Amino acid sequence: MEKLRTTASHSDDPEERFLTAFADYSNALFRHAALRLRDRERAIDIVHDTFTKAWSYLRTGHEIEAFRPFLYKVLNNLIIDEYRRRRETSLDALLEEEGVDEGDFAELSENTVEALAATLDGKKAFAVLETLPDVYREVVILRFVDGLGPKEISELIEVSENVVSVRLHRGLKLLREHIEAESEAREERRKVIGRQAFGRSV
Amino acid sequence: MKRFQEQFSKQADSVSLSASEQQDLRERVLLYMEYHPLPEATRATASDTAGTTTSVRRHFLANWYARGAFGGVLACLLVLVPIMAERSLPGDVLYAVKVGFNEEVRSTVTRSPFERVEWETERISRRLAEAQALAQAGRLTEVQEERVAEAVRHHSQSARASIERLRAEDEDEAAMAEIALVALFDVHAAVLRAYSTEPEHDMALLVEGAIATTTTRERRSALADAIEQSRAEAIDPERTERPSYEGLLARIEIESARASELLRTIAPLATEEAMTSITRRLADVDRKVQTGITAYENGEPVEARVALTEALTTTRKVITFMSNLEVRNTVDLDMLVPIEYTAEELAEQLHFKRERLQVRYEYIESVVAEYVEAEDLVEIEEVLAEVPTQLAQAAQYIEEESFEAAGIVLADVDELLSAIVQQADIPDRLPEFEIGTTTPTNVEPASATTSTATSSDADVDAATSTATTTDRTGENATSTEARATSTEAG
Repeated sequence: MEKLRTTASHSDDPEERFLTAFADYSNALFRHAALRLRDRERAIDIVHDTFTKAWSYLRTGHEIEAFRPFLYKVLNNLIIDEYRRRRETSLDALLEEEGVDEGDFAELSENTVEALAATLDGKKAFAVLETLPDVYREVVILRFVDGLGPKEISELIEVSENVVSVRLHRGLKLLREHIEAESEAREERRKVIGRQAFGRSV
Repeated sequence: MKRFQEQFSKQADSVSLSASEQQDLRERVLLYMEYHPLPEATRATASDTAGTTTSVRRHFLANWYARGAFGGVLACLLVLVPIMAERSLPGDVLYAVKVGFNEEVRSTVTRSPFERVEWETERISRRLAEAQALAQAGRLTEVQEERVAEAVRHHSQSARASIERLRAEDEDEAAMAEIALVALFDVHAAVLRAYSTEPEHDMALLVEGAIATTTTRERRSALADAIEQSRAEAIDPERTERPSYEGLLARIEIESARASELLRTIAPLATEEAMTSITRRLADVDRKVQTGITAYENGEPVEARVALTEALTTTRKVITFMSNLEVRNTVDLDMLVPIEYTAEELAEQLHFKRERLQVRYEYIESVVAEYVEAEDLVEIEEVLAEVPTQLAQAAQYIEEESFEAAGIVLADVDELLSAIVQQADIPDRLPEFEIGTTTPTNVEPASATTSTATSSDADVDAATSTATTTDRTGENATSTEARATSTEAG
C-alpha cells in the first residue's frame, strides 16, 4: 500500500527528494482529498497546490526532513480552506449542536476503537463514508485509508490523541448506525415487494 | 480491526489517479518547478551538508575500530551464553542460567499485566516441554518430575495473580487471559493423555524408580495432577460474566492474524496433510465467528459471546499446536481441536452411513433364509421389515437438519442389523459398493486410505455427539452460560 511506503531516497539533493516524494505520495494524497471533498477534479487541484506549496517552502531555504507528514499537513490545511469556502458546518457549530465536550471522554482509548472497528464490515462502512460529517470523516480516512497512527493524526490536525480517539469512535459508531439504517430500509423494501407479490399471486 | 482496515482500505484503493491524470499532475508540478527554480544558495547548502556528514561519519568509524576487540569479547559472554542456555534441560550445566537469568530478565521487561500473564503462560509451556523432552530421552527422574510439577503450579499461581491485577484495570482482558490459560492446560492435558495411551510413552513408566515399586496404571503422573489442579484453579466457578462481545471480536482478530502468520512460517516445513488440517480448523473458527456475529445481530448476545469464546479457545489451541514442537510431535490436531462439521458435511456423512446400512440390509435380507430355521425366519423378517421405515425416517431427519436424531436412528438400525447377523450367524461380508464418493469430501476420516464402517461411524458419532460433548471447556461454557442466563433473568 502506498501509505506504508516511505521515501527510500537517501539523496541530499532537495529536488530529487521532492520528485521522489511526489512519486511516492501523490496518489495517496489524491485519495485522501477525493474522499474528503467528494470532488475528483477539486482533489487533483488541491494535491497540485500541496506540492507547489512544498516546493515554495524549499525555495525559501527551509528543509523538509520527512515529506509525508509535511505533505499531509499542507493538504489538510488546504482541505480546511476548501470547506471554509464552501461554508460547511464548522466543528464548533457541530459541537454546540450535539452538546458534546470532547474533554469528557478520557476513558476512550485505541483499544475501544479497535474493538468497535472489529464489529464493522469495512466494505459496507466505506459505502456510507460520505454520510459522515467531515470532522469524523477526516480522522477515519487518516486512520484507515492513510494508515496514520493516533499520534500522527493528533500532530497533523493539532488536537490531543484523546480527541482523535473520541472522533474515531464517534465516526465508527455513526458508520455502524448508517449501515444498520440501510439494512433496515432494504429489509423494509423487501417486505413491501414481497407483500405486493403475494397480493398479485392471490 | 485488521479485517476492518483491510476491507476498508481495499475499497479506498479504488479511488485512484488514472495514468493520464497522474501524468498531467506531474507535468503541472514540473512546470511550476521550472518557473520557480531553487535558488543557488539552497543547492549549495545541500552539498555542504553532505560533505560535513561524510567527515563526521569517518571520525566515528575510526574510534569504533579501536573499541572493537574488547566489545567483541564482552558481547560473546553476554549474548552467546544465554543463547546456549536456552536449549538446556533440567540437570544440564546451563539450566540455571536459563531459568535464573534469561527468564528472570524477561520477567522484568514485561510491562503490562497482560504481557506478564502471557509470559507466565509461556513458562508453564516451557517446563512441560522440558519434561517431555527428558521423558523421551529416558532422563526424567521422579524428583525432576516433582520439580516440574511444582514449577507448573508456581507459574500457574503467578499467572492467576497477574490476571487478578489485570482484572482491576480491564475485566475483558483478564477474562481473555483466563481463556488463554485454560486452553494451554487443555493442550498439555491432551499431550499427557496421548503419552498414557501408549505404555512405552507412559509418563509414569518413564520416571525412573517407578517401575519397581508401582504398577503402571496405579501410579498417576505428578505432572498430570499438577495440570489438572492448575486448570481447575484457573476457572473461577463463581465468576459468571464473560468477555464483552466487542472485546472478544477484537481479540479474535489479533489471534487469527497471529495464527495466519504462524501458518505461513511453518508452511515450508509442514506436510500437506498438516497444512490442510490446520487450515480447516482456522476456517472452522471463521465460521464460528460468523455464527457469533449473526447471533449478536439477532439480539442474542449471550449466544454470541459463547460462540466467540469457543472461537477464541480454538484459535489459542491451534496456535499452541503450531508453535510447540513437542505438542505437534505427540498429539494429532484432531485430539486437541475436533473438526466442526458444517451442516452440509454432517448431512453428507449421515447419507453415506444411511446408504451403507441400506446395502447391508438388502444383503442380509437376501441371504438370511439360508442361515436360519423356518420358525425363526418369520420373527427376523418381521424385525427386518422395520428397517426401510427407519432408514426413511433417518433421511427425513437429515433433510430437516435434525442430525442428532438421524444419528440415533441410524445407530439403532446398525445395532439391529448387527444383532441379526450375530443371531443368525450370517457372514457379515459387505459387497464392495460405489455410490459416487466412498467418503464425504472435506472430511478427514481416522483412516485416510479406507472407507471402512469403523472410521465413518467414528466421524459421524463424533459429529452428532456435539450436543453432548464431554469437552470440559464446552461444559464449563454451558454451565457458566446457564448461570449468566439465570442472573440476567433474575
